[in-house]
Amino acid sequence: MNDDAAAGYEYGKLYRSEDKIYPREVKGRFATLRRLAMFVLLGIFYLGPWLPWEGRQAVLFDLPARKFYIFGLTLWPQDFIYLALLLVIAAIGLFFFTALAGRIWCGYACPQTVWTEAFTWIESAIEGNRSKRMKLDKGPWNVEKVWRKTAKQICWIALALFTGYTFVGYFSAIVDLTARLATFSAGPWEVFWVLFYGFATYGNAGFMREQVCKYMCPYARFQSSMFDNDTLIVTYDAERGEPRGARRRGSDHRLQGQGDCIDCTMCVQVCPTGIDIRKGLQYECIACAACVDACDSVMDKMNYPRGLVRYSTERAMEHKNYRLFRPRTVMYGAILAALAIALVSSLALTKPVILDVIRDRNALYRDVGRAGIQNTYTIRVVNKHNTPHDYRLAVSGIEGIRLESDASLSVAAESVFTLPVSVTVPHEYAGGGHAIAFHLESTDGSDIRISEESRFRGPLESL
Amino acid sequence: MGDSQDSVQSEWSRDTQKIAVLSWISFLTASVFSMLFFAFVDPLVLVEAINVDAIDSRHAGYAIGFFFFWANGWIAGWFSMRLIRRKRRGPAAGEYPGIGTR
Repeated sequence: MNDDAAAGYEYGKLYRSEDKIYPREVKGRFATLRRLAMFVLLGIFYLGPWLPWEGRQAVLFDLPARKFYIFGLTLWPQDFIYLALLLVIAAIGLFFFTALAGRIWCGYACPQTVWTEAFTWIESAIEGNRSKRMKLDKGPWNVEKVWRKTAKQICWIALALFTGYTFVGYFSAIVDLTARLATFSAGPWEVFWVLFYGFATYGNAGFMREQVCKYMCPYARFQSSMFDNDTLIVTYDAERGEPRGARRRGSDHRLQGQGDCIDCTMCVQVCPTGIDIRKGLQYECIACAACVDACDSVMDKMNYPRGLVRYSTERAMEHKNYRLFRPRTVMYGAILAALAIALVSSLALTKPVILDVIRDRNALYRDVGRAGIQNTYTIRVVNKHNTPHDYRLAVSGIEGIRLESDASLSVAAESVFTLPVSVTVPHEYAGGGHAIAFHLESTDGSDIRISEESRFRGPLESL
Repeated sequence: MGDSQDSVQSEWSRDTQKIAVLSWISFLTASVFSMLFFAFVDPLVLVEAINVDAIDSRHAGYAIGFFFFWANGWIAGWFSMRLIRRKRRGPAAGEYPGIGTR
């Protein structure tokens, strides 16, 4: 807590919801935790694309090549199910942790919070604390104001652009991207996305801040439906605090019928969304716990026990026991575990080589005279290995069935090989529709054997 | 962005809120749907099929697809907002006996 508490009263009316919000800086356990979370998460984000893995970028969503690399894992467009599953797991995980710990995501891990934290950190480093900022904003455009504002904007824009550049670095290899940007030879779309994401960062973290949480975030609106009476929330202990009021330090407030709340409004002044936590749980509350830190330091000064504003639950406030296992947490937990197992096991069972057979839809069949009836197919071999493979293709299912084209093919590493093939069946066996199977077998000793079913169509036999 | 807004936030007007919510929600849905869509469709193949020469790279395809989805969500949301908007003046249905409660 700073020593300008008196200045806070001077601007006491600023916390009214119609007025502007200058959140006061706060020090304390949760502020430290939030700053730590900021450094860790931003560190992961900014350093992430620079991490190497077996000679390439460890995490690279290579959009131009339509391949996703995540450490040892390579995902192809047809593996999209894993990505979808991962997103569902993330969503259920959010539900689970919301039911357990309330808006812990909002307070510590949401990108909106993290970048806002970074931007306000820059702001207070350059423009000073809350009262200095307010004075600066009210004051005339003198030299000091111009340079402080300019310096802040330059730092903000630099951080925003660097964020945009790092973001694009996740989608096209960052080493090449850096080289291209340095030589002004980057593609127009890369430059566009750097600017676009940079602008979004600047707008969200520098300009809109908690308004995003209040008005724009869908999660803020429906998170209350994941809450129950045992969910961790930031709450004011009204029983202990009321009736609130000013008092002389050292006087026995209990004797005068007063509660522990000295009505200093620090909890309101530090609130980034400008709410009064003493009015109870409100949807604007992002559970950043700034008010907890603020109140704790006031309680320390007053020699009262901490925790007048604290992380607690509705049931705890009613002096009931906390229940960890309740229908909501058990359900979310079970779904989360099931999905995680499904993801891991399907990833473990994923096939490195895929054989697709697409039947030519234009021609039903072709009569090739004595040779028989011919159908055409497009064979697609997807080789996800990082080594090339040689294969032999075979077909079975009908007496006398044979491939017209060369049966051996080689597929380069991490590539798709497409081959049109014709299959001929003698007249006597070709009538009607038949199930056939294509077999792909490696001939380079790598022991890959896969089959794919398809249909063969011949002329309908006379009825 | 003026100087006073750099470090100061004011409450947003209803219209600002609407535009912000529209833009953000349509942005989120556009992100999800372009991911879904382009997981299955290669933009280059699509471009070849519909004969648009202007889109000459996957980058361009993804970007245009994303903005297409975004605009689509924005327009749909905007029309929905307009069409379900309530009249501000006059008593609401049921506020007085016999008005709007037929």
